[in-house]
Amino acid sequence: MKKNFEKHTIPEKICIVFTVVLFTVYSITLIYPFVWGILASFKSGAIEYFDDPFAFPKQFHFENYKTAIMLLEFNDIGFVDMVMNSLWFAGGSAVLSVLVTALCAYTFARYNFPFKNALYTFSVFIMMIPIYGSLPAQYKFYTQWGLRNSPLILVTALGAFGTSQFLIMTSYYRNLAKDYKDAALIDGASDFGVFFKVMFPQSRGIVITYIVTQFMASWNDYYSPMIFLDQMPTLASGLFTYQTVVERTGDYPLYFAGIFISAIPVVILYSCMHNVMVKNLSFGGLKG
Amino acid sequence: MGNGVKTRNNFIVGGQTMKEQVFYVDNIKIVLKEPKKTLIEKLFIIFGIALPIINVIVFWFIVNGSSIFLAFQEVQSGEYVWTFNNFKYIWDALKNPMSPVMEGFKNTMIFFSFSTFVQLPTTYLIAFLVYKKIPFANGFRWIFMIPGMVSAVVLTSCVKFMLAPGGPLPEIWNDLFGTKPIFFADSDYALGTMIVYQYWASFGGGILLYVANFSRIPKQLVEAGRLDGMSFFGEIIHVVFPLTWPFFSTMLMLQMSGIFGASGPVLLFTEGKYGTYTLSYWIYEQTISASGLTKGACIGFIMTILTLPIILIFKKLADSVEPIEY
Repeated sequence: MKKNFEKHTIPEKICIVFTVVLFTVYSITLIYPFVWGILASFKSGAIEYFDDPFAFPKQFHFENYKTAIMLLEFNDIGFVDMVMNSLWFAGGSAVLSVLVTALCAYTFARYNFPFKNALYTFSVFIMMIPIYGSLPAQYKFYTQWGLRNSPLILVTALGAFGTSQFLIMTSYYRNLAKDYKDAALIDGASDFGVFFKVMFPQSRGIVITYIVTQFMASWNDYYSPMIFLDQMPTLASGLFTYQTVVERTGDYPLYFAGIFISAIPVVILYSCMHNVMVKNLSFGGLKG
Repeated sequence: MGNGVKTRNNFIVGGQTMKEQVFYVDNIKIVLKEPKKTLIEKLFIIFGIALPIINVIVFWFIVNGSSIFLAFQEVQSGEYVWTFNNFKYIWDALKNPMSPVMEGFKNTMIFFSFSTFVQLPTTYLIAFLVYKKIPFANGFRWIFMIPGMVSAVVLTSCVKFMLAPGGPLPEIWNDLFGTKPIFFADSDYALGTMIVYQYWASFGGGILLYVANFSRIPKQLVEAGRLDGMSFFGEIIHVVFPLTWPFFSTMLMLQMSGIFGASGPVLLFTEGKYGTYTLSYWIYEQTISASGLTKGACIGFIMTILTLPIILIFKKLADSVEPIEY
């Protein structure tokens, strides 16, 4: 780091120092609300909280976290149930969407079939052109077909077209050396064998990256579960709607304990995976 | 003409897959055709594309088609009837400056302008500085991702209490300006607060993508530029921006495509009160009210029609700049 810094000119060093100071201030503003929220989660209850919301806890009540797991509930859906809903919703949609996308992308990259170019162009088209106002139609359609408040909603994740993941994965599989496939074919593997035993394992870096990012996005998503899984809330949507209870009871420490428990899995995931994610998350751009 | 290499199910010439290739050797015409696909190959192709095709037919064509139909329908006596009343409603609402629709339109344009002309360039610049490995770059990159890492519910819950009466920010504001506003419950401050929040919380994910893209730039180009006297920030103008134009223009196009969807966390902070309606929030409100499905679909239809020419014009302009291959 020191060597990197020393090779700059004086004006550049001044700019860099100024930037580091600015970034440090910004980082503090990012971290402070969480530190405050975590400290609030250790307070004894509504009385201590409202006495001085921004004071240190008089005593650290770690049992708030256990209490949150046991007592937090909304519309008879408990905390543990919300965690289970989050797990199947986030995990299911991440795994299903990425696997289907990987298979479809490989097929596009390595095979010719009728209307292949048209489908690819269509995928780019629907990625670029947003369809606004489809939420009412989605709501009506999902309700009519029993997808609301059901794990069947995961069928909506079985798509590939219109996502940047599809485009990036197609490009990725196109750039993989064809020699692996040829060698596997010569050894007697079928096309299924080539994909599942040779090509898919080659792409595990990018697949895992997308599963992780999709999992994080779905775990944190409060909006879609609030509309389509209102009777099976996930942690994010359940805790959001639980705010109305907190405003009545004032038990903010319990509420903050609940929301920070919900943040733990994604923070751990990101901390472990962020270097891999940076390496695999890139695409050049779209032209034509 | 060139050498043709044939494998079992791909016919490759110079790296390109072809269906048929014609060679001339000593004036003798040789035609090589792509071998017929085996049953297993056909089954694999069907296996690979069937689910996405069914998914797009059901959840894109049918749902969006229903949305278009809904825009031209209204519930009368429990039945859906065809009508233009939704368009009349939207038109009347847009003529009324006090209506939620007009307020939503105005606020949406404010959010869009801010995110395109302030947030996007700032994210680009910050990503460049992280990519250049300024001191503590990796640490900053991790911290800047915090808003993207955790749920918006977590972040807004913490921030809401920072900004609530008795919190540190109103106290700081009072020290600076002599007033104690209730930031999210005052029409004079609510929208501005949300815009600042959006700016403050939104760098994270964009930085990862940009840094990943910048990492592909060959270091030799930068070193050559430095030898020619290129400055630290001159690197953005002369090397980074030109080379990453396709990626940046794609990001900008995605931004443009979301012009009418631009919004802040309205639902989390104000639920549309205190002058913070956006078009997206209004559509959400119409959806959950169940009686407003057709109006929500109608305004969405209008927004989609208006976005199409914007995207096409922008794409034409972006494609007119020749990308640099590297």
